[in-house]
Amino acid sequence: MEGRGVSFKSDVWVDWCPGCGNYGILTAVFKAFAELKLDPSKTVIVSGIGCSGKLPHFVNVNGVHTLHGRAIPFATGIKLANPELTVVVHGGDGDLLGIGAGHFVALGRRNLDIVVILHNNGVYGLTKGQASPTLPLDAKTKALPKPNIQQAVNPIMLAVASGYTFVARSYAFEGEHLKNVIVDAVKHRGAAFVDILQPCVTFNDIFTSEYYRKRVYRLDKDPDWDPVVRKPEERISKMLKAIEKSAEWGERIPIGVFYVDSTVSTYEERLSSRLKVYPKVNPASSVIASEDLRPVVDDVKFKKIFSDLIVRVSKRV
Amino acid sequence: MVEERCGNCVNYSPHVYYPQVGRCLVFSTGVSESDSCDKFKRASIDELLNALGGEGSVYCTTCGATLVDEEELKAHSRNHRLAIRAVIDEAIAEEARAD
Amino acid sequence: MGFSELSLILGGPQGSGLETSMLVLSRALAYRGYGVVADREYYSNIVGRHSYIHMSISSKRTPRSLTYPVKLLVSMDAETVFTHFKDIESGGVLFYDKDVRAKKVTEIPSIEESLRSRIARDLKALGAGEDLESVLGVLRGRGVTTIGMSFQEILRDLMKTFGIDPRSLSRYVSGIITSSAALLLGLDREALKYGFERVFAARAKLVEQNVYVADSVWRELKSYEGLLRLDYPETEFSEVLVATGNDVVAIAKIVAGLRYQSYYPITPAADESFFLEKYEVSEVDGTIVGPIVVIQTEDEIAAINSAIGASLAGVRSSTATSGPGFDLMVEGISWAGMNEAPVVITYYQRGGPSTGLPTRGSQSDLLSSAFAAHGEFAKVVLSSGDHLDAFYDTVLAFNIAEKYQLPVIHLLDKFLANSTATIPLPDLGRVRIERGLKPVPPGTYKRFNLEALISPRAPLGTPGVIMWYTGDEHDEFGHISEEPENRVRMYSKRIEKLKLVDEEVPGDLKLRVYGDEGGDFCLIGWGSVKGVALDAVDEIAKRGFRGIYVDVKMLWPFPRRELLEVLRRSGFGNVVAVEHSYGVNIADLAAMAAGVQIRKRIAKFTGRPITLSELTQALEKTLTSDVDRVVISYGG
Repeated sequence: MEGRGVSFKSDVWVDWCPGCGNYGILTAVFKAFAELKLDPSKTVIVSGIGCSGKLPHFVNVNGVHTLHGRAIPFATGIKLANPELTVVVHGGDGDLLGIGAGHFVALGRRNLDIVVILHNNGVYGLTKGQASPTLPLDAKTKALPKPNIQQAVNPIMLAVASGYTFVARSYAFEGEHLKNVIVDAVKHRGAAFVDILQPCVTFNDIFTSEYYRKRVYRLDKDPDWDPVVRKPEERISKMLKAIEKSAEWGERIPIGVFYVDSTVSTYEERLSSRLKVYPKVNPASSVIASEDLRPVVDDVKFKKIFSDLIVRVSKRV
Repeated sequence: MVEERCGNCVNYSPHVYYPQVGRCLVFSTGVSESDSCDKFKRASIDELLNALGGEGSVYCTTCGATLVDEEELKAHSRNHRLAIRAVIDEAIAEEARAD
Repeated sequence: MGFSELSLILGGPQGSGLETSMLVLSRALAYRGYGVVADREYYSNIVGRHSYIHMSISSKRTPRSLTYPVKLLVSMDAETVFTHFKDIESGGVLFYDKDVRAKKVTEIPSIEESLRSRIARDLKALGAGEDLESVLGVLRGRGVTTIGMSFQEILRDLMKTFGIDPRSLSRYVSGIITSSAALLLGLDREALKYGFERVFAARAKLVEQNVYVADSVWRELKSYEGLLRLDYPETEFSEVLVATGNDVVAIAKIVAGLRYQSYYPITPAADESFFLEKYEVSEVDGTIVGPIVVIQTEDEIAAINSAIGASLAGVRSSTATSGPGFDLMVEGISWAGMNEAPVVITYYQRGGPSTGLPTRGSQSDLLSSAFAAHGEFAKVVLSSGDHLDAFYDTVLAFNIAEKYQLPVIHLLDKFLANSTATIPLPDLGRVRIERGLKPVPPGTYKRFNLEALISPRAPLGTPGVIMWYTGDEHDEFGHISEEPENRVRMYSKRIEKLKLVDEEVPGDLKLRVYGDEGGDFCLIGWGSVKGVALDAVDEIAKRGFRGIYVDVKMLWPFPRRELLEVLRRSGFGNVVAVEHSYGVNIADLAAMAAGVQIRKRIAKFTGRPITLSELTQALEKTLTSDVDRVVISYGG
């Protein structure tokens, strides 16, 4: 399928609430995929559960709408089996940082070439507005009977600490910026994470579009901001700067790229050093049987491969 | 008077399963508890307390137990055979299976 | 005249070289043409607890079961003798370490308190003291030959001669016990050396030193050579695999074309994934076999879901686990069912509930695996009776998963996983790789096309094709749909595929009958009870009861027609079910699926394998009395 000129918009009616930040994200995905000229048949969006989980149905590329919190494991299997695919995960804050937090951390450790896009709205929308892992302590959104009794996790900090090698934040209604960040994230080789601040018009009356419009500012406006690790010795200092910057929240909220490190090997590279033939010969491209349904391993090959376990009997005479 | 043989020496590290043989911590060689040499040093309570301070633990061969505090050490020292540490066999790591 | 069948126990502390002894001895025996099966019993522990190997050897074939009492107990320590002395038959032999003769049962900290007091009670009843010397006396009184050697002397000699490292003493203690067992069984030193060479492979020094140990043992025990001599082997194999159940399943997965295996460490499944990692890619005669991506995931949830992900990309994928891990995978299985994704879950049962007996076997997860996951959808559960069956069934599991686009659970257990056996080489000429791949029709691709029960499946990444998957109810394209008419068609499609499995899979792969029908009874079971059940059927024939064994291989969909036919032919009389569980749940599954009532049940749930002697007795009891339920529990 030719990337150029393809409409990435599917014909499924988009059923998010009017004014939802997801519309901004969806539009940025269309534009980013068009700019990247992605082949829809070689692209897979993997999502979890919740409002963000529906996103793949609205996009004309392969879509895998999975279980709550488990989009990353599904994406991991898809990508490892066929490394030629571009794999992008979409998940909410409850999905990726609550029920799926273990997988979120594990992907960072692997630095597998997958993009993770966080739809961060501070609430569980589809179940009517419960507090999510990114809602600050004591915040009381309108659906909550009592103020939030649990603290928020900082997604940027967690991503940096977990080992993601591209970590950025954008805002759902900052269209051009968001599109650019997604393009950079897809181009990055290794695990990339994009935290997207997103209003929930129905359940979150604190983090509204008005709230964000007044506060977000772009990191790249500061000529001294340089998040790129160019050699391994810079890693710790750049990480610390990213973490420090990610703690900035309140009157001013930074968006942009927090951290980029291309000096860390990707999981694909680690695998190819072990498997040698990978990724050129990979699980999806390798042959397992002949035309007449016989396995690649015949009696002769069997004895050669498993010679360590075979005993040739030699009875005494 | 304690017999001056490896089995009574503070530098004798018994094998975890076959404590009659072990390792000499001075010469780093395999020895049997009935061997002896002129570097003999009795496994006295003071030597063991000293080892506890350095190693963080001592080993009670009688109980197969690792002791980490002085009171415990003193209690075991009355009737048990103590050593600075036990020799852990290589095969253990290869054969271990747990949960 | 020697023994055509013989069973023995090798015992010692965990990690003391027992595994090595079993590897060496089984290879030496196989080399000389004997059949071997050896079960490995061990605690959930790294250092110090008692473990043992229970082995059956035959000069005629690969033994099918373990039995008590044993002819030979080879002990590495006093605890082994205290734990197993009652298992030695009169006329049998005990080999022990002379240096621990004075050891008292009360002085062994690693013995569990309840066992210690039981042993002390037994010894008291026998009028014996609590030390090993007294036990030796008891045994001699029973006609057991006790043969002692000083391990210390041999080890000391090795230290002087070779300067061996005390950190590797187990390598030599294992040499002592392997050599003494070989000597008693009448194996020659050349065969023993072969065993050392195969096991220590590249470590020539270890071979030399163990041969030296063997020479010392031969010198000292010369007069006992061949005391338990095995008959000249009559087996017909010229080459055998010597492997565990974990190994065999891994080998079969490689043959089946597995390309993605995910796992989270758990006993007794992890060794399978280790094996696959070792053989992840091979190049033979210019052909690449693999590559298999083997990944240790962060948990079992990621294991199953990443395996499903790999399956969507068109590759044969699987995961291996045990009960606690399987429980975590259940939501993923439901997704696979909903999305008609082929995936194989190799499930090695162990003793539950919860952590239960983590290193012991069971068959108590039959109902859990047959009925796991919410919603209704097609899912297949297969089991295997022995190593060779497990090989073919593993291939079958992938074929069924792909042909019918559904999750398959291959339900095995710890007994099979951890027992080593001599296995005839599988006949690869019999193996077919059936993927059920049909050409994708032209036009807009519908992943869940409703024209047939099985829709054409295109992998993600197929050029020019896009598709959607969702755990929500969906339309033919894979888009969410809550529309009732579509719901009825899609929901039914996913369930009714099971009928195809039931109709198309040959009866022989679903249920196998062993023995001549028209006898007095029908013993029914599944999985690893097969070997012992077959032997019990043979054994009880000597006592005048003729019967058959029915091995239920496909547990779900339950082979209703096949079972009913067998039972009809045998007049529905005297049906006895046997299982490693409390409930003997196969009987309940049969009642539910086939409407047959099986009242007589033989249960064992100690975590130890059912042995021939106890099963034969239990079977006789159910056949000769109105006792319906017999619980057996032999073995330490």
